[in-house]
Order: sequence, then structure tokens, then C-alpha cells
Amino acid sequence: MRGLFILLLFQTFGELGTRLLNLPLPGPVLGMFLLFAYLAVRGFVPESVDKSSQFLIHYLGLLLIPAATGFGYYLADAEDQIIPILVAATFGTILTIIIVALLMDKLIAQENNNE
Amino acid sequence: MNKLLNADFTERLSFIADSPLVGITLTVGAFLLGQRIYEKCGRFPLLHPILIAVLSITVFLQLTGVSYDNYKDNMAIFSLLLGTATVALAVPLYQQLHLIRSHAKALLITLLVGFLLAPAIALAFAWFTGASATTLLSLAAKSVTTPIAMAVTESIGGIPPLAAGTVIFVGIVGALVGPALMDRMNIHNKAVRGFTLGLTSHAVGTARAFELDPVTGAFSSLGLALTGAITALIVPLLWHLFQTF
Repeated sequence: MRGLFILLLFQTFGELGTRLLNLPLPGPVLGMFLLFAYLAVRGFVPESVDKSSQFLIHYLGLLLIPAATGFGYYLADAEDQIIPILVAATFGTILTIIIVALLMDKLIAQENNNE
Repeated sequence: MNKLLNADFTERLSFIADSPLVGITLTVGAFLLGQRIYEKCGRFPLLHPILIAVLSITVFLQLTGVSYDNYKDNMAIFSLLLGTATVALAVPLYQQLHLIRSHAKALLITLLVGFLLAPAIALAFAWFTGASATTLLSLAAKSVTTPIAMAVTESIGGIPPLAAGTVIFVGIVGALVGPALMDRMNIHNKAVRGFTLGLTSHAVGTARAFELDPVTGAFSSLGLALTGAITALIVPLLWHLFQTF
């Protein structure tokens, strides 16, 4: 329970922080950076925080289902957007994988040659 | 008589639309069904549990006549916990940070190029095939893990479910073709394979990477977390700047 409390506390800090400072950032994202800073300062991850975060990340897929269900409803309402979205997602992903993998492979080969 | 019975019946069933209990039970049940089918079919990425769950829920809502908005309102607790899960991503980011030291320069250059390239390529494809402004805004943040993409999309005025659906779809495409594609390209370095999967295919790709082997998985979650962090910081700031001009 202590881990979940810490995560909720940082989520609250994130929401408060973005509102008080009028930051153009989503609250949970600021909360993530604040928690990262807290962990970096402490120098280790408390076991309770590790357990709670593993639990939530493990069930991320479940938490996403309501939003993902909206995808089909959105597409049904905007039929002319189906092709652009599917083309961008399919071919965009394949092309990005090719370029990113080639680039990093070359960079690592270069690093190894320099050694 | 028949009409009376129907009205009474509809009234009793309105519980299905009004109660978070039914929505949550339905969602958890659909997820378990999805996991079971996925496992039974040898973890074939096209039968991803989220995909099966979404389809079953859509069928249920259509059959019972419950609107999506109604279902979404009942599931508000899930969007709150999604925020908590986003905060929780700080933990793997912190834990995987030591991996950066092994290939610091290669990882950082790839991160910067990939972070700009992934949305640019997606937006170019979408623009050429006739995407609307709202679609483009929703795709702008699609190149990161879903909870971050949804939060960012909301803050720049896109449609969060569109971003969420696209990220999951992208993840499935990446998990399906990514490893085979890199085999063909003769790329066998685990750091490269993992980081590429995490950067391009996020949570679904990372799950696939962990199935391949733990080193690939670790580099994949590093790619996922770093891409998410940098996009979450930069996309809303860019959008903010863009709007002030």
C-alpha cells in the first residue's frame, strides 16, 4: 500500500504542479519526472514503490482498453480518416524500424572500430 | 402486453448502462478472454489481448445498446489509474538507466533521430493520404507509449482514443514485422534490436522483446521510457510555442 500511496502522491504533485505553474505538460507526465528525480536523489527504488509500479505497468494493457475501444467508434464516425491512419501506422512503422535499426547498428559498429 | 413487458425489461436492464460495476466486470472479463486466446494461439501478435478485448466490448455494447460515452464515463477510474501507471514508468526508466553507459553515444543519437523521425514519417504518410488536422494532431504524439501519448494528445487538442488506438496498432505492426525485418537486415545486436523495438513499438513491442530474450527486453524498455520522456517534455512545449506565434 505504501508504494501505491507514493505513486498517487506524485501523481497529485504532478497535477498540482502543472496547474499552479501553468505548465503545458500533462499532470501524470510531470509526476513521472518528479518521481524520477526523487529516485535519483534517494539512489535506489524502495521495494514498495518497485512492487506497485511493476503491478500497474503489468496491467497497463487492461487500463488502456476503454480508450482503445474508442478508436473503433472514432473510425466509424470518420470513415475518410481510416486509410490515412492505417497507412501512417503500418508503413510509417516499417520505415521507421528500418531507418532506426540501420542507424544504431552503424553507430555501434563505429564505436567498436574506435576501440 | 408485449409493450409493457418490453418497457419493464428495458428499465431493469438500464443497470447495465448506468453502473461502473458492469463496465469494470466487462472490461476485466474481456481482458482475461483476450489473454487466454493469445496464449492458446502461441502469442501471435495479431491476436493481441487488447485487440480481442476491444472487439468483445464493442460487440457487447452494440448488443445491449449502451453508448460508448456511457461506457467511458463508467470507466473513469481506469483513466485515473492510467495516470498513476504513467507516474510508475519513472521506475523502469531509473532502473534501466545504467544500460545507457554501455553505448551512450549510439543510444542518444538514435533516440534523438528516432524521436523526430517516427512522428515525421507517420505524419507525412497521413498527410499524403488525406488526414484531417485533428487526425494529424492525434498522430503527432502517437510515437510514444500509450498513456503518455493520450495525456500529450489531450493537452494539444487531439483525440486521446485515436492516439491510444493508433499506438496499440503501431505496436502490433512493429511486434509482428520488427524482429523478422531485422533478421533480414542481418542485424543481430541485442541492444539495437531491443532499442529499436522499444522506440518504435512501445509497450506491445517491449512485451515482444522480452519474449525474445531479457537483454533485448531491457533495451526495449529503455527505448520505450526514453522516447516517452522526451516526447512528453518536448511535444507540448513545441505546440505551446507554435500557438504563441
